[in-house]
Amino acid sequence: MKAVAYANGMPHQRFVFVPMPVMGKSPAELRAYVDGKDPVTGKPVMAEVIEALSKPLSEEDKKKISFDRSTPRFVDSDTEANLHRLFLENQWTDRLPIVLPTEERVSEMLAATSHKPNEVVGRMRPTSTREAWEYTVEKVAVNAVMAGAKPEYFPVILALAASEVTARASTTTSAAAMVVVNGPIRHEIGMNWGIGAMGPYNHANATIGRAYGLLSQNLQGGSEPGKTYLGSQGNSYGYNSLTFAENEERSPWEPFHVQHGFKTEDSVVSIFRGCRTTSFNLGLREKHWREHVRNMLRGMNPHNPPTLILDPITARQFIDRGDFDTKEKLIQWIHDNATMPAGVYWDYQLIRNYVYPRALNGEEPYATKLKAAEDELIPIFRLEDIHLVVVGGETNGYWRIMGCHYQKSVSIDEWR
Amino acid sequence: MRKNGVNRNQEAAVGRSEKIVVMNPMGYPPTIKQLGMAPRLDSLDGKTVYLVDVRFDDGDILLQQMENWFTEHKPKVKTVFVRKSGVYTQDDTTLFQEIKEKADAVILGVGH
Repeated sequence: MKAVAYANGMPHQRFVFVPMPVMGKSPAELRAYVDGKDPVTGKPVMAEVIEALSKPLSEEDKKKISFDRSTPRFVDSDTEANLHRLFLENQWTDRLPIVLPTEERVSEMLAATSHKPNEVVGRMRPTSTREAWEYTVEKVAVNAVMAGAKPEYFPVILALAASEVTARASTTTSAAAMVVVNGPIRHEIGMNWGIGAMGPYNHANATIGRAYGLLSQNLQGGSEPGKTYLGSQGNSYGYNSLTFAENEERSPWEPFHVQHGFKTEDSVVSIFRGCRTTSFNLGLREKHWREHVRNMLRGMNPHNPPTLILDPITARQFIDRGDFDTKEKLIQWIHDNATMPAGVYWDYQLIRNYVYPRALNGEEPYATKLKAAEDELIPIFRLEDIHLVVVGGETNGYWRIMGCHYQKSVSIDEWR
Repeated sequence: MRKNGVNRNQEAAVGRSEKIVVMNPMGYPPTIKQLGMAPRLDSLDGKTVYLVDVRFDDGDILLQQMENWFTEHKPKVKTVFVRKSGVYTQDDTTLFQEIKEKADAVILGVGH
């Protein structure tokens, strides 16, 4: 809170805190908060409120402060051991060992793109209420080196940076990103879309995803626990941002990037955010597959729409069971079958926080959903928020649903 | 087959005391323009205080309890409880214009 106020030019903003949580507490319990003490200062809450509104501004409050906000190109020279310690102390890493970004290593990375080192790639922020920091091709390369990426991966990493979508959101919800790569570059740099594609053991998948996390935290101005990272439980997906390639060769449907306006021969990276809720299953049973899928969908957090991540075996089984010969047909079925009573839907805390205010403002389809009777079944998700990706090595028909928001797809070819 | 690390360890030992130069990984921050603080009130008596809910995590119930506290302990303060329009990340220009015109002070309940 204080960091956001500082970054928005209000370094002396006056705050009063009450205990957490506020969510779910009764009026009587919240009255006790009001009558109680600020957990940060130990002073009575209402005495602080009155003081914040009526205590004259001090000289400190009126003082103009200087914002030292420069970023040097280099770090002061030191031994490798001391530099590793410095990077840890400065919270420039994910706390795993890094490759120190010497000028030579960064130059090798920069040689893998036609773009100039000082070209601005984009701006990024940990949340919409914070200020956006700017970064160049060279700054992206520094983080790519730290992650252990090979230079041939650099166009993918630049495309991720150009998305301006952070993989290190400050949200208390512990969000992580998911990255899907399509097109010829998958072959060129040896990405994995088969056995174990979403796990360890592939250098490109592992280090591209790690680079995305490191560049996000450093280029947006930090991801400091308690200050600019507030995920209450955290999320180990964040170590490599669930980075994998789509199994285009074994998918029965058109690739994800073609669905989003690109050509088959284009190389593209697509980014999803959220990635907390995961549901998992094996295949589709003939008699009750519809009920099984509905159960999975109702188990998702209703604020994070489903992206189905299907092994090719399951993708073909969806065609066998439901005649879904295009992704669009299956997406429509998911939309129509992911339902719950309106009263239950509107009572979810995340729906209260993020959807209900939009419904009150008349935003569709939420406004129409709000008119439904308590027991009326309503679609949980918007059609346009539901997606399908095919990945896996066909060792069996396992599949999962990831609760996440698709953000955008970015050309990798433009960053070669 | 895994490689024997002995030779590489010896190499590393030689270079441990050497100083090297590495590059800074941080991006470039924007300039911050400092905003002046609003002058404070001498007393809240007879003044209008808006309590603004941003529609997050039951902050409205908390602010209503705060409004009750004012009624009981500071009856000369006029309180106005309002919910801003939209989710907490969205602006509400109409409400903030109303506050500029009608409020002497504001308590903004941020639900985080």
